[in-house]
Amino acid sequence: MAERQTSTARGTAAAVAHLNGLVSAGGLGHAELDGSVLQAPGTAVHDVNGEVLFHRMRLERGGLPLGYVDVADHPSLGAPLLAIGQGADWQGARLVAAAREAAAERHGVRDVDEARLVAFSFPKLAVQLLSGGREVLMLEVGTWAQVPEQRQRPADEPPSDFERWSWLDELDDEDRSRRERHFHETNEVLASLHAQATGGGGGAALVSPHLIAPARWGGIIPRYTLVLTRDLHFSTRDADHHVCYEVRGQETSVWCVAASVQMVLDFYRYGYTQTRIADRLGLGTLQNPSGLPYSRDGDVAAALQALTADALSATMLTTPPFATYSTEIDANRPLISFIPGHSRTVAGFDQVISTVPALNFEGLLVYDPWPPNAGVITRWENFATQTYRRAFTAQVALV
Amino acid sequence: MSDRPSPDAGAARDVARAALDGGMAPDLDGGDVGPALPVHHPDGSVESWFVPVTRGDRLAGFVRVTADLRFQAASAFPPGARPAADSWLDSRRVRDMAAGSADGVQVTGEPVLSYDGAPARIAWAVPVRLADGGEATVYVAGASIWQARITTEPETGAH
Repeated sequence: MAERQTSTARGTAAAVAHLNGLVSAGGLGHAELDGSVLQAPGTAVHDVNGEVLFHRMRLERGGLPLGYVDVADHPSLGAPLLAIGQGADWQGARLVAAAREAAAERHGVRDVDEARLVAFSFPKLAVQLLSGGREVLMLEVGTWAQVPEQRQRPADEPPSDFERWSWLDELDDEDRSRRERHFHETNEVLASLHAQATGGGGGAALVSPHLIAPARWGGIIPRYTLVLTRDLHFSTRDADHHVCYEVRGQETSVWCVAASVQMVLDFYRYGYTQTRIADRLGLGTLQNPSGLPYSRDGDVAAALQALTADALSATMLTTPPFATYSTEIDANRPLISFIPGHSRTVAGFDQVISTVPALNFEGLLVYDPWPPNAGVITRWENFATQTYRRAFTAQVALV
Repeated sequence: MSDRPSPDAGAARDVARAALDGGMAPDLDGGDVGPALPVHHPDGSVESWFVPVTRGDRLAGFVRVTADLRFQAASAFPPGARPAADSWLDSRRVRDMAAGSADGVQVTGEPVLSYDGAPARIAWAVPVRLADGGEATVYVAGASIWQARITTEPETGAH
């Protein structure tokens, strides 16, 4: 399939500006992208309903592949820069050719006059093969399994794990409106920065329009407010998996510690009940529960290790700084956070760094087991307004 | 508590609105930001402000604002676990829940939005007389109700 020219130059410019900002910040593992060039316009990826969602663009340095970047076309996606896939050698045309070959060999389908990439279950991709404008086959990228036809589902039933569904059509109006507003606001600011750096505003060209090299952007980047943010995923490869963490409400008014330990152990796929964890921590029973005395804070680390047969190596930290949380989350590890009288877990952070100090912000994404039997997700807790007494980190022991 | 909102209640609501408008809590976008309620220390002073965000008859979440009117946190209930808004916002409903928490319990004073032990553990505190004649505090947080515990040593989870 030919690389299509439907991506807006403005969206690509915004994505390039955002990438330069991320690289300039030096965090999130993006520093290694310094010196790379985005190969615009990339390959169009459609929604199941036929609209173009985004373009996937190859990222190269010195002609060698570094990965890919997804740049939104559709404002409902919420921001121009969607994803950065590091380490992949993206070749859209090669994928489509492989799909055509699989269609012919496995399904006897040869009469194909168009093929295009489709996010059949966003962000999972398939190649849709068409003849006369009508689909004749859709194959999942990589497995080349045939993607079933779209089925009718009850409104409150989520899609199954191998199902065709339209990401755009399933957005509710409120969410769509919020996303589009954010997209346009972000696009405007970032594209303006890009124009300043590249001379797109009418001045002499300073740098190549698709170059990721913030040092070449001179004094422009320092005026850019950087936002570093991350929450837990299945692995450290953010582009591959969505958020992977759940809140657990504490089952008694005093079992915040047990619920916090349960959240962390759930993340590592240990399916303990809260009563079992409470028993290990000496927190009584559902009928006669107790909190964890301050003098026994260290029991949390011991319990994390004991309940995983030492597969987790746990550490207790006193009055941890913000960097402790951001470092752990960057490594894809949740933490337990003790504040005076209460325990919660931390699954993400958000950091705004600006040359205008008043705009700086450090926040934590807190999965709070309070209120009992419900729990609440706090996005974001202002780090400057809370007292952090202890943090417990847990790291999988590797051999 | 007086029925008349204090000047700070309006300012706390403004702080919460600014935080939400600034994208601080996407999960709460589109919700209705209600009047700020003071969260009291046990001594009666204001510890912080609780600014509810509702969707229909459900409490979608809330914003906490410090007593000196700084944004503290924005919290959202998981969509499938949003409590009834009046279970958090209607002191008469809270009073009824406390009264029905056990046989023979009599509510002896007005519910006060406070916390159990630690400010993060926000709940309504309701003074009651128990069936045996003893005085106690019952806490109500949404559908959860419990009696205050007395401990000899500070605990994470209770004091």
